Amino acid sequence: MNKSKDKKMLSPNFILLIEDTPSHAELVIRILTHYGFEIHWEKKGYDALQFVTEKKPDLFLIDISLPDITGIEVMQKLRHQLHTHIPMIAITAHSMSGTKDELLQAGFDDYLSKPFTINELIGKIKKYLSVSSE
Amino acid sequence: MQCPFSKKKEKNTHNFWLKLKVFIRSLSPTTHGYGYLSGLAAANLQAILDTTVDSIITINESCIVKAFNKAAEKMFGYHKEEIIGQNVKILMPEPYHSEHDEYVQNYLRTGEKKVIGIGREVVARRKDGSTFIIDLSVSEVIVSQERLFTAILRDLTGKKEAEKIKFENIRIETEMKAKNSFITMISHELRTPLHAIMGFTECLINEIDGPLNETQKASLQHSYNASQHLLQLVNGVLELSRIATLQAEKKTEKCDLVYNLNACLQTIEPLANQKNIPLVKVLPDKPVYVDANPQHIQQIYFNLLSNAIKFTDQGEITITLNSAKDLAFITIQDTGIGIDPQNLPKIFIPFARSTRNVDEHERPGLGLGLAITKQLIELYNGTIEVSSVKNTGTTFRIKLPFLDEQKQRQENAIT
Repeated sequence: MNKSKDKKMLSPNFILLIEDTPSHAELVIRILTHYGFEIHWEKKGYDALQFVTEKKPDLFLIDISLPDITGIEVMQKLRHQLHTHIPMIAITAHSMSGTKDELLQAGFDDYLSKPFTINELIGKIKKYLSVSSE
Repeated sequence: MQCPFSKKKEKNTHNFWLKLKVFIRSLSPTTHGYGYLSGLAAANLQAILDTTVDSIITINESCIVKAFNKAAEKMFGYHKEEIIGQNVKILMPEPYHSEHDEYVQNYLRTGEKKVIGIGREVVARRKDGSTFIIDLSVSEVIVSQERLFTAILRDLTGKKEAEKIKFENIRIETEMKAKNSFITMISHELRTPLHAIMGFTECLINEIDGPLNETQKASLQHSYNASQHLLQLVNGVLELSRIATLQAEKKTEKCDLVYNLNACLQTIEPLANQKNIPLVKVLPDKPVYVDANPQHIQQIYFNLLSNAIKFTDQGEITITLNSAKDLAFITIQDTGIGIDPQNLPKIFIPFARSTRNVDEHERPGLGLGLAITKQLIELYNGTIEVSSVKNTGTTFRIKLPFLDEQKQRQENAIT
């Protein structure tokens, strides 16, 4: 798969967060802003799909449980809509051992299980973006 | 006249009754035995009635018992002599006892059948007063102008018990599934607020929102550690409930205990090295196959070995793997602090350790590892036993059935 290595990066990296729990969104925004990322938050899957028609992020953080459509469906629609491969990381509060494989098979690049640490979040993002922050 | 019954046991009660009816009708009235049968025929009939597994009772229009076979004696606890000449309602509990005479009279008057030729489940009463459910079928014959009713009775107690057990099993299974899905849901719901608690606490500790003094940092670190402990509990409960539901969807494969031990030791050895505890391995030179999920086998090893390392400060840990007949034996022996005899029976009970604070050495742990280990071993029809001497050491002995004795031999022959 074409990961971010051969991509021309914009600075700062722009991340689209799709998350329905406000406190969880606030947490990710606070951490990522601190680490120098530009971040946009959408609460609903369809709003995120609409947003992407105007501005394309460098990476997606997608919560699996969304109020309108599932995170997996959002990811699949985004994959269909976008013509380039943009890294997409799933976020879930399920810790079942089978979940990770299911998400990767569905088309996500990676996976974060809530609760995750700052290091885990930043580590995953750095894996897919050539970051020069801090 | 030839007796229509063969000596072989009648399989079909209905057939048996039809033949019996034809047989009785064909007989001439005499003064022997049943009153209307010839000596030989009466003896034949008695032999049949006494060897059949079903109870057979004959009554007349006045509900007086005329015949009562051996199976009926056994079923009701009455001797034939006690019952013949009595009203059959003696064998019925209330309200059937009071209603029976009227029912028979009603039938004789109107021909309205409730049991005759239909068969139904009714409650009967033994001599000792106890009641039981029977399957009752009644037929009517006219012999020498006397109207007789012959009932065939089958005790349904065993069948009802089996039905009850089956129903109970279904109920337990349904309840367990509901309970487990509830636990899974609760665990998920608990993780969501924990994520916010832990995440924001970590942000504060890392001074993302500005500098803190050392006391503030220490306080937050306590909060963070406590929430981390809570998360481990939630994960443990989730894991326990997941294993409980695994039985239905258990996916097994040919799994080598030796290979999987070595795979697990790669993770475990650094922990042992940190404490300078040697891991002594006594392994066979051939693979030992069981039918299991390799991840589960590695988890069993990991839980027991990490426990052994945690509770051992000096000496060594010995892992022995061998086999005999159709069983594989895993023994994990440490020279650690041991377990108090009174706590030994409780060590496989979830949370027993954490709720009792048994560890005076303040070693971290939830008391779930051994509970999960035991469930995993039992999932593959294995057993785990523990023996321990305080301040000397603890030994865990696991038995797991081979993949299949024949397959095992073939595998060993190839390797």
